[in-house]
Amino acid sequence: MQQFTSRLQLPGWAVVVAAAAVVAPLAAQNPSAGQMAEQYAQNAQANAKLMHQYTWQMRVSLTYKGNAETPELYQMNWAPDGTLQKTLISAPPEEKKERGVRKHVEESDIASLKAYLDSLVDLTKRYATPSPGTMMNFYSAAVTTPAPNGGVAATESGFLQSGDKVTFTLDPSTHQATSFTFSTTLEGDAVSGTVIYGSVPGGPNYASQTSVSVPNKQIALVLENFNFVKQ
Amino acid sequence: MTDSAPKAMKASVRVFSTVLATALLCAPGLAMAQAPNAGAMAEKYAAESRANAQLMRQYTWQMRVAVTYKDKPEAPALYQMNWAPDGTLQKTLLSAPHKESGRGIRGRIKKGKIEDFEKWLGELADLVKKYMAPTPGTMMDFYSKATFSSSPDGTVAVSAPGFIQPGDRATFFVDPKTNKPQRFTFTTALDGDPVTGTVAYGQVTGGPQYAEQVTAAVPAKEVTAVVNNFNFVKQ
Repeated sequence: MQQFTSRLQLPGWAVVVAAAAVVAPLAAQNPSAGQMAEQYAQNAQANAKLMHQYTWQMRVSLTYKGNAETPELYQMNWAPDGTLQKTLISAPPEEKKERGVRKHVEESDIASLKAYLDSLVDLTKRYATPSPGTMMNFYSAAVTTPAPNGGVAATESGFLQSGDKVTFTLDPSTHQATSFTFSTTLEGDAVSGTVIYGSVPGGPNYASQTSVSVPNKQIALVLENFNFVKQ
Repeated sequence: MTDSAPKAMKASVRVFSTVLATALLCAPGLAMAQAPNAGAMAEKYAAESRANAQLMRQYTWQMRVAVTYKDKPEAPALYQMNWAPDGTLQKTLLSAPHKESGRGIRGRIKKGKIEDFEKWLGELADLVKKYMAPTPGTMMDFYSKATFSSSPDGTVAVSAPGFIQPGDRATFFVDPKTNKPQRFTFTTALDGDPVTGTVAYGQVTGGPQYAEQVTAAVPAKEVTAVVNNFNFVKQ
């Protein structure tokens, strides 16, 4: 993993943890879409502030062509300037050219795969961290249906790009999103993603697990955030 | 335009006329009055756009679509624009149909490449459409990050990056007296090629505001499309 993932450098994943989309306004008492989006923005800002009080760990796992690479574990901290820093704390795997992802990817192809993964990360970030305006459109057009677990599913097509589809599943008692799924495309490849939200008691909401898969490319990425500690 | 007209030319006119048909309904409504927040401003934008669209339905007008490819302007197409009883916008060609020949855009595009060109034109039209008809949510994000500056012509330039896609920029030039946009410009990219767009807004006296002229240019492809709307008549 080290020989591949560390070379790929997926800094964008660090940001995804802040994607604790607070969709609470959706179930509020008939506010307008603009008001709901404003509330979403305020909630997101407040949640981000809370997040800055914590450190946590992040695990990144990549499966490529059916082979699961050794996950990488990072310690996540906030630098004094407010930027999020990640430090690898898992043991770096030995450099073995004939094993791991590199076994399946020619050296010359690594650059193109890296570019693709970067695009995939950027795409996932856009879905996991929607702008208030995107949420305003969502609030205007979303269709709600009962979810199997007693929650409410709010679904919209054309969330970020035509042809995509997203669904927030909400806890009816807290109005918080418990999960978020999206289906979209990247360079013509079908992409599906799922975000499971967690909540630190007395602290922020966060994306506890984000999974993205691109079947055509036989790529599956899983990002987990845990061990939140207040500073 | 007849069935025997150059395919690429037909496509270029078709896609841009379709773009404008939608854009006309969405062009105005950029009220820049002081509002409590971006969400409220976006709500106001949505309400004004709806009101303008209702006004627009009381009118017929004409639309001219002109495409220039490799510095050679094609014969423009003139359409009569009417609302069908079911509320859909209909366009009827008024200008004389082009004759089939090896000249024109088709004559300058290698056989086999015409479909690619048509597809690309469609993508360009879709892109322009996104800028011409921003959603309330897009406007909310725009209001949230826009910067204001004075323009030499007395308008206030309201500008922000990341309007529709990363790397782009949109600028509304707003009349400070009416709070209505006089023109709108955008810079963006399509398949890596820079695209520039300009919209000049017009105002029907006592009627709707509309996109009087829309220009989209892709220098790398040597393509420029200009759409004009005029002769508004209340029904």
